[in-house]
Amino acid sequence: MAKNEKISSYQLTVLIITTILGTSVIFVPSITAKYAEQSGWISVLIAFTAGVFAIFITTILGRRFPDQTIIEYCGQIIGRWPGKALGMSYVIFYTITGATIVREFTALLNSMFLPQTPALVIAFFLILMGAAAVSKGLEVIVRANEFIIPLFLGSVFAVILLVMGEVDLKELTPVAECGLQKILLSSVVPVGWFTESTVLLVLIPYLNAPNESTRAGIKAIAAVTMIQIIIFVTTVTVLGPEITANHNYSFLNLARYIRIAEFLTRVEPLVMIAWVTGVTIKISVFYYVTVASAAQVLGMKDYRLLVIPFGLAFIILSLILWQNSVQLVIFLEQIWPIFLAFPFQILIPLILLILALLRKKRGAQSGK
Amino acid sequence: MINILYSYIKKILKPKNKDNPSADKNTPNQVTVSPNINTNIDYINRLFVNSSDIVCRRFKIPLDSPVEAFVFYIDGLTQNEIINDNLLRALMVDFPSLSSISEVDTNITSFVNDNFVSVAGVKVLTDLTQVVERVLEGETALFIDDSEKALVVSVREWEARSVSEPETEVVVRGPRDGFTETLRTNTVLIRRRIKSHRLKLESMKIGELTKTTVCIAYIDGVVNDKIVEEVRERLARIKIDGILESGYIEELIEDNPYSVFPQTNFTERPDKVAGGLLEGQVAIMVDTTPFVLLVPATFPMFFQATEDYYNRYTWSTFIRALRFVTINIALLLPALYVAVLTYHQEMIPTELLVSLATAREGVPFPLFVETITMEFTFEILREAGIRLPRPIGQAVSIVGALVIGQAAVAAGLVSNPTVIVVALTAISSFTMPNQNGALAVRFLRFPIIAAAAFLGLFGVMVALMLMLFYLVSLRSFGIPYMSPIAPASKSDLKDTIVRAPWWAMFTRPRLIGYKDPQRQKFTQKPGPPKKRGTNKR
Repeated sequence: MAKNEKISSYQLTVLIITTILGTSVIFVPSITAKYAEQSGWISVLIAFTAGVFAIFITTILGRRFPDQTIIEYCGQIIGRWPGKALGMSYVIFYTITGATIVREFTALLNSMFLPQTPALVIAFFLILMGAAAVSKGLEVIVRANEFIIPLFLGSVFAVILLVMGEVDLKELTPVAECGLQKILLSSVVPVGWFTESTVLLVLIPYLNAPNESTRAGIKAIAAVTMIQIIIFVTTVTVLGPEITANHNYSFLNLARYIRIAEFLTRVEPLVMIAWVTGVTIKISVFYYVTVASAAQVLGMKDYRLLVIPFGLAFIILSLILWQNSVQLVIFLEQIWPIFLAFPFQILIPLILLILALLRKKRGAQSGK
Repeated sequence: MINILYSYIKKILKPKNKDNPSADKNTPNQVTVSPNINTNIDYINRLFVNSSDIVCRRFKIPLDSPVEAFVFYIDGLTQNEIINDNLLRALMVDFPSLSSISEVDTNITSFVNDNFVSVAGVKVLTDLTQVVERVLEGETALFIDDSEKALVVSVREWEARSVSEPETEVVVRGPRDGFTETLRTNTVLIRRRIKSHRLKLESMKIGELTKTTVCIAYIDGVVNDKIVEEVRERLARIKIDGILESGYIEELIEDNPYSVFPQTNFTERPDKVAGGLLEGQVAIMVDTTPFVLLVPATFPMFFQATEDYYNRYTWSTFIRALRFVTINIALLLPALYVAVLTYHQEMIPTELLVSLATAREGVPFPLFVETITMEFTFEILREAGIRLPRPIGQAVSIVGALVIGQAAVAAGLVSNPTVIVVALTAISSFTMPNQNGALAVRFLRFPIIAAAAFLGLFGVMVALMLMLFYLVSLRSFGIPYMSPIAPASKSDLKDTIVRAPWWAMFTRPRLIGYKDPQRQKFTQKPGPPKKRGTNKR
């Protein structure tokens, strides 16, 4: 596998920020408010620790094999065929995650902005954007993200600033009223999102300074946590915990409160525009990770042949895996974080790391 | 899509171009200067049969035994006074009276060269084909009997446009000289600005028939050597019958030949070229055109005007921000108009929506058709206005203003808001300082309008994201096209979105001029005198 594409630490940081925030901006406030009510920000902090933990596992493991992806080195740690099987299951995990993202966004667009457009059309165009980026390579995704991140974060902060007049900080009290148990319960979903930084398992060999990956990753997680807490606090203090919990897309509802000089109202399509940029990057990252790992499992030199088949897989899976948006929400809250995100993003890398340490396995250090 | 289309066209065209069509059919093989003067004259007359602008003046150097000689030049390309005074007069009048024959006998051509041709640029050549080539460029050849050498005297002069203010890039503040069609004048304009031996001007000839001189200018020690080498290689690769404008070269050396976006910058302004050279760019100057290419060019460069660097930095920064807005208007406004009115009416305040709806009441076409027709009409008007002679141009604007602006609205074919949108788009597209980039923006707004009509704002975003992915994948001579925004370089952003004051621009662009990154001292920020009273006395 040719790894002549290189990305810098700064690029990695902003890539992880968009990858996580791309969808979590919209969903995390309502999902955490469902159990933890106004104390959802504590859940975000818990997710932060998990995210940092995942970064440590991923990067320490990755730095032991600086020129290889997890698909390539897991065979060295647990043996050839188990390694292949594990690689395959990672491909499946990434495919399902990618399809989930596509479906989340398709559902949102369908319900809020384009009610008459078939979901297939929206999914097709999402994947078209992703495929365009992926077939041009990782560097293109990373650079496009560099261009986008100021716009993406700028629009998030613009929304927050513009609703500042409606903020009622009393909504945040009493703190931790619901009890620790519910807070922990509500942190399950954000943990799933915050550990998405484990795409690093595949991306580490593309870094021009793998040794800085831990710092870059933690910076990204810290930034994401801060932004997510600000978003949560604003959403809850403006809408109140009940409304936040009842709306799937509470951050978009927040945008409805914007009223500038009685002229510019209902700007949520503009928020959607900014959000498309983030989601596109997120889809591209998962799309890339999927096809790159699939190519490695299959022993192919060039992943580009797989772009179209996997694109079709994403579209089809995103349409058939869930019958309706209720199923999607249940999947997002109960199945994905516990049965998919946790094992693939924390447990397996942790076990691999422990095995690698015990068996003193180590990849060829990149000789200078 | 476009790629597929182009590769299809390429496939059709391929068989035709299999072998090099212009492989030296008419150029003669190497011929040396004959000692017999008549052979030379015959040869030249044979080459230039039916060429009325050739002058072959035979004369005798009146020594004791007169020596035959002749000058050979192209009428109109030379300074006749110099030929008359410094060649003919010297040889026919002054020479015999001064020299004794014994000195002359040994080698008359060298003797004449050393003592009588009072012109600085003289070459002694033995290859007759080379002599002919040089004469075609405007030099004058002198042949003397019994000599195997010819003197080629550089006395070029022809009717040329004088240096004048460039019409395509007008400035309020800044130098008013512009490049002309003569390469030498253009290099002088550069050399006058950069008086350093490190300014290099390499020249080469391109074009089997036109033999156009192409000059690569760069500053040694600042420029990235790899880029210069790449430019040399790509220019050397060109095999074509003629180069009439730098646009030929532009298309023949680009990294991504199918791209809508230009990957070389062009300009008529010597100060812009000098500024580019100082930042590590390479200039490609082509004889017979005032347009000089600058490579590598990145996308943000197309939004920068030379005047940004001469005006106060606060104003320049504001202007750059303004330009950023107008580019977005030129690219997106019609698309947003279509998208919002078709899919997202809830975004518009009620009163505005009512007035828009009233305006559109009698219009029979869907908004998309209406908008795209108007945009297209505008492009027609524009194109008509450019090519027409000025007196007729006025007629075009009257037709445009009356028929399109008023009659169409009065007849209920288009609505007023659409006219306003199209007009604003048009004006905005003129604010781009570089036409090359503006053309790309003007072209791309049509597909974006189509995307907006198809999927609303989401469609606009799809189009924009595809464009962004494409833009960041481009490279110009190996330099990422969207640098310094993506990949980001903090130190270069000082001259991209904002224009930092000159005392704060310490470094050259990181990717282009990295070889000698520092361009000025760090402690130049001016201020009032430090000690009180120092400016007394």
